[in-house]
Amino acid sequence: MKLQSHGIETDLPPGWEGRISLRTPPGAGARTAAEAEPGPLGTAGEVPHPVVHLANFALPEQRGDFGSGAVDLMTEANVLVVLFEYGPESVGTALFKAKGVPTLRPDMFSASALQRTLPGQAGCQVFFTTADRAFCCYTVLGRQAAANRVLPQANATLSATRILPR
Amino acid sequence: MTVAFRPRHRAEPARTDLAEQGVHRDPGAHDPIATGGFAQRLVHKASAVLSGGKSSRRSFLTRTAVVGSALAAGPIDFIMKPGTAYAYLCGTCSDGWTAFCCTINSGRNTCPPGSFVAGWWKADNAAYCCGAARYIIDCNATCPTQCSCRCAGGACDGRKTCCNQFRYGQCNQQIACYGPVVCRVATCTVPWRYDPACTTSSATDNRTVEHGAPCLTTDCGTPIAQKYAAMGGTSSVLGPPLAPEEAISGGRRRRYRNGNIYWTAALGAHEVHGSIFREYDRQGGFAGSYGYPTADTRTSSDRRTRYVNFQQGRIYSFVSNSATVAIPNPFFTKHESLRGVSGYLGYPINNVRPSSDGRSTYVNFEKGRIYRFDGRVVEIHGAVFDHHEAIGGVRSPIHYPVTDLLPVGDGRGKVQWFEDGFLWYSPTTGAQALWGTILGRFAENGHVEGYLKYPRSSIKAVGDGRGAFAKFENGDIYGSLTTPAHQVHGAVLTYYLSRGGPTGALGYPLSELDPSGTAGGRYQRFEGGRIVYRNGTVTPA
Repeated sequence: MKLQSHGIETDLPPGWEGRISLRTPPGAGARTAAEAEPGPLGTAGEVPHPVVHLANFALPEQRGDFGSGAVDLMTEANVLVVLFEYGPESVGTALFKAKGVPTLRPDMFSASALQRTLPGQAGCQVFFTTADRAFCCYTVLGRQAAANRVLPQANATLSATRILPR
Repeated sequence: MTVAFRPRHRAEPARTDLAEQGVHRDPGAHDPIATGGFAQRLVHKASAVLSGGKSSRRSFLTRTAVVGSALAAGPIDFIMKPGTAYAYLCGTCSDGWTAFCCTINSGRNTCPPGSFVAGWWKADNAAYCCGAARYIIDCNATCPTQCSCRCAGGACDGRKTCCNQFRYGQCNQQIACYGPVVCRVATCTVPWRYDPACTTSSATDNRTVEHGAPCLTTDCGTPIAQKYAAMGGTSSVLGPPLAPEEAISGGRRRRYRNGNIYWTAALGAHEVHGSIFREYDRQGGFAGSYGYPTADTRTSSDRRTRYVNFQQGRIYSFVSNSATVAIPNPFFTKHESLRGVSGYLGYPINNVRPSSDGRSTYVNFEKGRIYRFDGRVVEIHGAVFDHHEAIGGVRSPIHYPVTDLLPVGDGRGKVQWFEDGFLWYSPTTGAQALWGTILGRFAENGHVEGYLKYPRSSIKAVGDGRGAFAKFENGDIYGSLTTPAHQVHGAVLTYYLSRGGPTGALGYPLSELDPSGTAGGRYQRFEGGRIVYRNGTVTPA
């Protein structure tokens, strides 16, 4: 299944699902009633950028940008890949020096490299720039021991992901 | 409890190649799972098995008790780590999130030494920020990491410090290498103002909206503080505060760089800022004629103005040029009763002015004016206003309006009463003013419902120094200093005008045309003789 939005496109393997989303900027009206949320959303000046969530399990509707809400549901064979974009001012900084969508290896993962450490899980953050766009690729494994089994799926998904210039 | 920073002695794996590939976490940072000893891996594995991948508070306590008991007499290496063995277990038995900085930094809600602001996220609709967005700013350890993963507090309900080697990444992007998150700052201030090293790239995690700690207040403070926080605090249009909140007559106030927030028990807290605030201040503020604000600054539906409603009026600020206009009651209530800026008058264009005759005050609007005089508040607008001004306004023979412009009731025209006359209006005849004896005759003859219908002119001088006249749709009325005003119409008027009208031989009319049915024809008397209308013909009688 192909996903395409906000200059990002990917081809999901069977059994995977994904979302490419962009939150409504503070101060902008909701485009539809269904998108309307109560109360103020952020503060004027905040700039949301596209966020990609790819997973080999069912993603819950309510998710934090870095997978909060989804990681709680992961089992041993699950993997979640997040591509979180930053603003153009981030391009060229030391943090985003690496080029290109990464290929993940088991030694990149650590049980402490998680936004929220959960037993058995392991994570990896790769900051990179491609097409003059700065991203963090955050990947969570349901079980670190399953890295060799699930990383090929994650890498296949990442290699099928194309990021176009803004 | 403070963070235990200490030099690291453990040999680290060679992972420098990872940085080239964008993995910038400190390779020397403590990783209790991947690089920890046998006991730590055992604890983690046991917890994982017992958890089944999910945890509740009860299961969490149960399994940690089990594992904790199992290790109570465990390897000496384990219990020699910083903190108690129980606390160490909390490193895996807590909720997985990092502690707040006030918990580990002597109560200070700031990044402790040895850490730097590394990224942020927000949670919307936070009670902590009185319904506004709450920002969580991560303080990551600087490289090389000088702290160890541990429980932040003495209880298992506490969160961890220096365990999560995760970076949100919007701040200090010139620093690539980062250690684990030491703690989290919670604030209602936007991160890029909290630390200019942060970008505005927004990340959201609303599931963390209720994360708290005993040292973080959830008290939103006074209504003024709540209002300020909800507006965005220092990043709001008000800017930073200039003075503490203070009691003022009837309420409270806090002053900020670009305006104030006022509070009264009856009205609540409302802000006034910018050009409207400056105008309000010129008008005496809360102690002046406007009283307290009854609402926050609003934008008009046509987006031409911003405005604030006060107890006794409204102040507008035009978006195009920031010019302000203040209209107090009763002008404001009068304007609102006429549908405000959407009504006949449009926007006010100046503050209240005194009239030159000293009898009234008034406010000009785009399409009219409101007068206040002798206890009356009256509007005048459109063509009637323009004509009134053209004939001298309040110094004209009809002076001040005493009613608003009213519909006549014939579905066609309107009339406005003045102190000494009337102004009539219809789309085809325009606005015309009548006064004096000519008005009296017009009224006596049935005004617009009589034969003459609507006036086509206001009263004009004949030019002979004696008399005046007004023209109507179906005739004229002539009057002079020595003769009463009389209507002349139809064939008689044609004949009269052909003979020079009031300055001709006939002079001014002395009577109305006799009623129809008068024997021998219908007669009308003039100073210079009598005219008879008979069988469609007008002749001298």
